[in-house]
Amino acid sequence: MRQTDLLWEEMQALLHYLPPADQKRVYASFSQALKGVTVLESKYTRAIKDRAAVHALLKKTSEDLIQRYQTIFEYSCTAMIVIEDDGIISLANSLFGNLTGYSLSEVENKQNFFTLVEEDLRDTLREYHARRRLGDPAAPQMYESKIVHRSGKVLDVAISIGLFPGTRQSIASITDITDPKAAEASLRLVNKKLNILSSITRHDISNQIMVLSTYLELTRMEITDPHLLGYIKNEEIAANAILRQITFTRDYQDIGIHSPVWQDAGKKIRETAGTLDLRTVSLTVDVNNVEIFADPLLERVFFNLFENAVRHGEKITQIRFSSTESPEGLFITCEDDGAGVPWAEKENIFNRKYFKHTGFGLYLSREILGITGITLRETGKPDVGASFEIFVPRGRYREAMHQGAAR
Amino acid sequence: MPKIACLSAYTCEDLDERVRQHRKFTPTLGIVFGSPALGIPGLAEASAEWGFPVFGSSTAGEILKGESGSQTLEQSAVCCLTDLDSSLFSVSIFEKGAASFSDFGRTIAQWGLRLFEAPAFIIAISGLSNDGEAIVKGIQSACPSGTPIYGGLSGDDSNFKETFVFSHNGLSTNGAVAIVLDTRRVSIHGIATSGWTGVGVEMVVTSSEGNIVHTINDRSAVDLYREYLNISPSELVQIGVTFPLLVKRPDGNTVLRAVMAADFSTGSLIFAGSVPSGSRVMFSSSFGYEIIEKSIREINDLYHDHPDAFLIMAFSCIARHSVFGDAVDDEIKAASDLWHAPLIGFFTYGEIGPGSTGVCDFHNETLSLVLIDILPTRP
Repeated sequence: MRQTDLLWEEMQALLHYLPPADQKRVYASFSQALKGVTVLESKYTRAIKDRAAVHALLKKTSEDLIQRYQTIFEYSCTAMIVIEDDGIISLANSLFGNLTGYSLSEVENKQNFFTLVEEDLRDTLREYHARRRLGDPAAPQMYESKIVHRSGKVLDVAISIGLFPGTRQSIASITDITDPKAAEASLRLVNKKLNILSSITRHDISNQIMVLSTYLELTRMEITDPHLLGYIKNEEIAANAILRQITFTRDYQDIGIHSPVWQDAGKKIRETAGTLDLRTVSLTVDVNNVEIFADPLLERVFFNLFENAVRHGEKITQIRFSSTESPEGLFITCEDDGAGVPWAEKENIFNRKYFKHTGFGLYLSREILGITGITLRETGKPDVGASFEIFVPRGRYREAMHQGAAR
Repeated sequence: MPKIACLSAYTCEDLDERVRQHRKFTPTLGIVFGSPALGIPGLAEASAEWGFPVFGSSTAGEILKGESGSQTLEQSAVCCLTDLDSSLFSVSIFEKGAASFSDFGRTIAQWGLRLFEAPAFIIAISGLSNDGEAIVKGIQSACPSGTPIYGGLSGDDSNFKETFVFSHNGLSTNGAVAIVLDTRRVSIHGIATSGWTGVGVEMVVTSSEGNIVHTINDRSAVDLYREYLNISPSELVQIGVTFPLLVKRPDGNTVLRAVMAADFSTGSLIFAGSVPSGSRVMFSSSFGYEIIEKSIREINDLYHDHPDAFLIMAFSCIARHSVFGDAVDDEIKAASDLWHAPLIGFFTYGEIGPGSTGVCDFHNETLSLVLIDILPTRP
């Protein structure tokens, strides 16, 4: 029996002593009060049930989330581990077991991550681990390292690592790159051999062409027959063509050999201009504080643009480099006031077999820029001047002065 | 400015007597919201004798802030009498019958459009299986774009058994009562503010028809609700209303949909608004007093934009009352104090008011506040 029911029983006993009118009034007031108490009771019960439901919902949804993240952890295509402050691996997925040759029961809460790292690299990784916990933003988040398989085999790995927010636990994703690294090394070796071979061959051919040219020159001095002189001239043209093609193979061979790097575009343009005799042509460079991610042969691109302008510009008096940013990316433009490029030839000038011997340089320039997705096209007007537009997509350029993030 | 009198009582007879004894002015409109515990049929019958149009609904708690008295009440009846110019509005009751939700909405809209070229609607809808969203869309489909629509789904003290709407012309347990106002001469502004937050992982509604959800993640909707909230079948609707589904619409907007009824034979849940098959949904819940603080901030913003009102109406979700208890008084009081105007409303099972885009929509777990004012007469 509830407290209120007991109270009501006691009240009824007392009401007998009151006059009927007072009994009625007290009865009405008490009924209203009791109604209020009943409402409060039901609200109280409801609040408790609501609270229980909130707890149930949070518990169940937390379990869902944990299950979901465990699934992501397990089915990630890389080996994944959680590393505690002291280096102990507290959680690992099956792929980590496959990668290292240890069972998860041998690893979790037992194995120190750094003991799996090749001895020479342990201190470096420990240092990263410590710096990360000190909040050092420069502590590497992605790097290559080596870990030792249970069998003793050393594996090349790529590690991506970060801290769980608000904790001293790291989450690391480890990819075995042993095979790609070996393939890369083989490729580099083969490439090197090919380069040596082609370099020697090129050298030998060049020497032979020089000998041939010398003998042609001597022959020309010995004969007077215009018919034969005509033959000699054609032979010399052929020899020069062979020499030019050999030079092209040298230039082309170097493209993509070295990894692309961030380069100050304005600085490169000015440095290149300094190596050239621009004669009476004035130069303006309005490209400042911008670095572009390009093949190390970027300088050759600017060299080719200068050479192309001076050699084919005819009436040229000035060259101007400028840059503008658009929502799509960065445009670096090289304009001159020379003869320009006829409408019909705008694409042909980038063909290596075409157009007044300009083809090699511009063809190579496109190839060099294309390594990092940068494009080159001619957009000028014939008789007004040539205009070469280098388009650098977003993410491939950044501010030069502060080594800022790529835009 | 129209005169207003606010009354409340704990019995139907008492309210009837107080309305009949009212002598300060001749009412042209009565707004009456009452708990089913008082006997809504009796209240409807009494109001039919008052001699002026009545807009009435059963409630899950009453709201009244007049010259005196508290803001929120339970198991009572509240009434607001006004002598608003009769040419500015009309009241009618509609029986849904077998009409589709959309057609039912269009019927209400067409009635309003016959009376006013630029109408605004305040409606209360009875019936626990009605799709509030589809009815609102039905009204919108027949009205000029931007037509103001406010109101709520009638309540029954959280029993989820039977709700009522009534007018001077009758009573309906599956229909709507509507006030239509002429927006050329009456200004209607408002907000709908919620604050419920999505919880946990997203799920997918794998089978539904309109506002009836059969399966979520290929599991019976009833089983899923019971498992996540750890509740018995008898508590499912009462407790479930506090934990609506947060539904992600294809346009990226989210909307809350509360449980109104359960069909245990099929394992389906009936929601207050549509939940299309394929929808991505999450459970949602409310956390803390900041929700009330947020609504008070939004009420202040509304006051800044629209500082005049002679009457305020509030349609507040029953879940707000259950979760925040007396703290809901703070948002009601904030509104009443700012405008210095009487405020009448009730705790609902669904609310109608402007969404995030400003277009009126159907909501749950929301406070929908409507400001009514008379526009100056043009020379």
